[in-house]
Amino acid sequence: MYEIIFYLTAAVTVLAAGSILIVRNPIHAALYLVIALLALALLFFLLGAPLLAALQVMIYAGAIMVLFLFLIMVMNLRPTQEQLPFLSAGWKVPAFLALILWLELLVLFFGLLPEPADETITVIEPKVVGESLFGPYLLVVEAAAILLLAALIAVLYLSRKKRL
Amino acid sequence: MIPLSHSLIIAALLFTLGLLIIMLRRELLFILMGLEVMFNGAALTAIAAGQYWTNADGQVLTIFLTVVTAAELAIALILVWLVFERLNTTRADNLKLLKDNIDRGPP
Amino acid sequence: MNQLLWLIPGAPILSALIIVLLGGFLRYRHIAVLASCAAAAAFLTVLLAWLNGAANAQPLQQTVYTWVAVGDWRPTVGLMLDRISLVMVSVVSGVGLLIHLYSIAFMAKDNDYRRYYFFLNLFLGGMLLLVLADNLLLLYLGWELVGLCSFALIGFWYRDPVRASAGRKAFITTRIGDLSLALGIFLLFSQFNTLSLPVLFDAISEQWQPNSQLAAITAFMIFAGAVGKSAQIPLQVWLPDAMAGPSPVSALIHAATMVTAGVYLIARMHPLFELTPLVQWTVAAIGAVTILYGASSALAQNDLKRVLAYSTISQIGYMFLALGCGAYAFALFHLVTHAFFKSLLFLTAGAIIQANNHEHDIHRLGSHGGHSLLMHGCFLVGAASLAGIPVITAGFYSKEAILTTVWPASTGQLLWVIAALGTLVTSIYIFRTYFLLFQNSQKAVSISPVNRMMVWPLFILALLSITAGFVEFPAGWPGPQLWSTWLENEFGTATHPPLATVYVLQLIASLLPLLGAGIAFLLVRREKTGYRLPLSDFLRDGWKFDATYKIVLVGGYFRLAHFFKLIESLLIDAMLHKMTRGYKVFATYCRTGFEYGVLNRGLNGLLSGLRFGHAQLSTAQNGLLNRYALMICAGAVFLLGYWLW
Repeated sequence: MYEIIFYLTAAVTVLAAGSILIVRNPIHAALYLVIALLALALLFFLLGAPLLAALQVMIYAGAIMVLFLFLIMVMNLRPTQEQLPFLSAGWKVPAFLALILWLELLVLFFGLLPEPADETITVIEPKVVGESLFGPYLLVVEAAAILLLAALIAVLYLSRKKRL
Repeated sequence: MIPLSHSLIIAALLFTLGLLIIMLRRELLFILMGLEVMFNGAALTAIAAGQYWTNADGQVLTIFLTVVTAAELAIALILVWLVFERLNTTRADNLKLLKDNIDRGPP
Repeated sequence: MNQLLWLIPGAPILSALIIVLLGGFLRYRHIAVLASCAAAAAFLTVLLAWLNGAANAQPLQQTVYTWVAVGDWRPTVGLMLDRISLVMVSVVSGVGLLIHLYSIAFMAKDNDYRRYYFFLNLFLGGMLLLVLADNLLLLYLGWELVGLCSFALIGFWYRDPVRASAGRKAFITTRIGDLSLALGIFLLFSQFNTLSLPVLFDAISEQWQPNSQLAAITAFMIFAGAVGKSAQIPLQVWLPDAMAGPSPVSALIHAATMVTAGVYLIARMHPLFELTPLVQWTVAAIGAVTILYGASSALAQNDLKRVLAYSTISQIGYMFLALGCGAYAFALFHLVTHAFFKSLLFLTAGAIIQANNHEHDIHRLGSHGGHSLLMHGCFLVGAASLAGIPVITAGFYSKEAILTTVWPASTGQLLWVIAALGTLVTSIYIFRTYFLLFQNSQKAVSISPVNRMMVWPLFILALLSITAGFVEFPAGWPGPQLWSTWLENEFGTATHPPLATVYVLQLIASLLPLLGAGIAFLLVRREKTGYRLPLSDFLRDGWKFDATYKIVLVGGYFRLAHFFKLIESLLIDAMLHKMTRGYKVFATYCRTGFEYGVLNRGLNGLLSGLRFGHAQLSTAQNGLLNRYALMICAGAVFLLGYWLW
């Protein structure tokens, strides 16, 4: 049962991501992205990371997607007039390259690690993550805060009304 | 129990799909979406690996990845908006200011 | 107190830096006062050191700074104040302070006062650094610093080519000695791998046998350095010309302090010299010859300052004589008294010369010049002390102490006779100068009143020229012998001949100055009627050393240069002509055959190839975001594939 849910979710994720590749309407693409991200959140949960699953829903599917949709609304984008990639001549080389890259990654992953003996799923509690985050990684948290501040300042600067 | 390699295959697939989106689509917004998909492939890798070793580090890494994505996306979106405002386009094909024009000779 | 030692050389150096960096914002008065205050600060620190037990057996030490630390070798700016240094530091800072004060009035009319005070302060700092250094590297730094300042101050009025060349001469001549000193230091370092003086002395006494060849060579090298700095034969030629500088400079650098650096160096390195009696005897012999040389040359001089310059050479000869005979304490004693009376003489001479429109000739100064009573008195005191008039002058005590210890040394009788003869001649030349200057001066009116700032240093120096000798009464006299007992720890006791001999020698040596004064009186009376000394030209030119050097060294060098020029014109020119012609032929061939045929075509091909490559490559630079992503992807594929494979 567990495996069936996992592989089903994985399939949904991949299919939704693939759909972004081929749809014309930006709104549709954004919705597919939301589906992919939500499915990914479920994958996280299934893998035993409930905190990250929640964060994924909140930050990606919530905040970031809103930004996308907002921008699409403001720019008033129409369904694109571009030729669908599958019809153009230029899609073969990138697709081939991407395929090779995927195969290479597979080779890389399979030759890498032995499988663990026990078959249970270890759930890592949010408490453990928090202790790790504010224990050994405290300095990185500070750095991340500074990074966000820098991004904030940059966005404010770029979006100011009065041009110099 | 899902084997680690299966999670990694899915992650690699997501990563590659994101890359394909970036390479094939011409709209700036689609390119950004492809970027998101790639980021999430990487995040899946980190979490799968963290679970494999039953270690919180994978999740911590993913949290930082999220932070970086948020910062990156905020700036990227405002830049897309600026491009739209200034050049009145959202297509990457039309943004060719960096093209080397051989007929013009070196600058 | 240990922590304050850096102030002694530091204050003048800091003040020099302020003057050179910020002097443009200051007026004459401020610069002069600043420089004098720096000298005063150094002097007060020395006084403080006296009060705080610098005179104890344990030397004060301070490590100010470590230059580099490479392995176990760490050259430091380390200062050490033991009794030898204390003597030197007291004299240098004291006389330096007095001369700074004197200079305030002396240099008031000069436009280049800023440069003057910069170098004067820098000199003072360098000299104090030299005598305080606890390692040879720092000592050498101070040594070169004072050399540089000496050069700059001799040529202070550099617009006069004669003065400028006098500065160069001093620099180049002392450089010979400096080079030798540097080689000596290198030798010590290569042997012992350290330059710190206390460590070095322990190592020397442990590892080197007496009379060993290496010790002799090293000692000789260091001695040669001292000879250059202290103007002894054969490197003495620069000192008489060094009088081209301002008079306070002559007093400070070329009489009281810098020229005695050689004496200090040998006294400081005495454990090394005591290993090699041969070099010690050489020191004494050079000293003795220099006494005679300086005294006899001073006898025939007409320039007031040159008289004093030759007299300085001769007096430093006494110090070297004492050093060579192992009487280091008395060498330092004479150094101190000499610093007092010779600065007094120089400063008085400077005041006289300045008051008489820069007239240097003693005959004309005597017949036309006017001198105040003060000048008369100060010069008389200085002259008496220099001549060593018995009992009442400081010069007598120090010279007497040296003469008594010379006698028992090897070939001591001969050296004693030379030194005694020197005493006689010294008395003759200085009183000849005195009589020529002042015999009929009462009828002349003083031209310009002497500035009060110039008077006080003269008073103090005159007082010291009289009284400084009373710290050490000659052997066998009922009086204190503070000096030699105080320095006993550093140098050991000097040996005296039996008391009976001592009294006879002392009697002779005390009568000689008086005899000399009488001879001088007669000599001056005859000289006024046109009488010339025999050999006076020879003596006036300093035994023709300059001319000889000019013929032998300069002439020889020129002859060598001519020879090389001949070789050049005969051989090298001809070869060059041949080469030029061959090269021309080759060039023509290259131009016609090679350049047009090969180069042009090749370059054109290369150019079009590059153009084609550029065109191909620039299609990649198309500005398309997707293409760039594609290339990144291709790169990733390639790298990953390469790594996996």
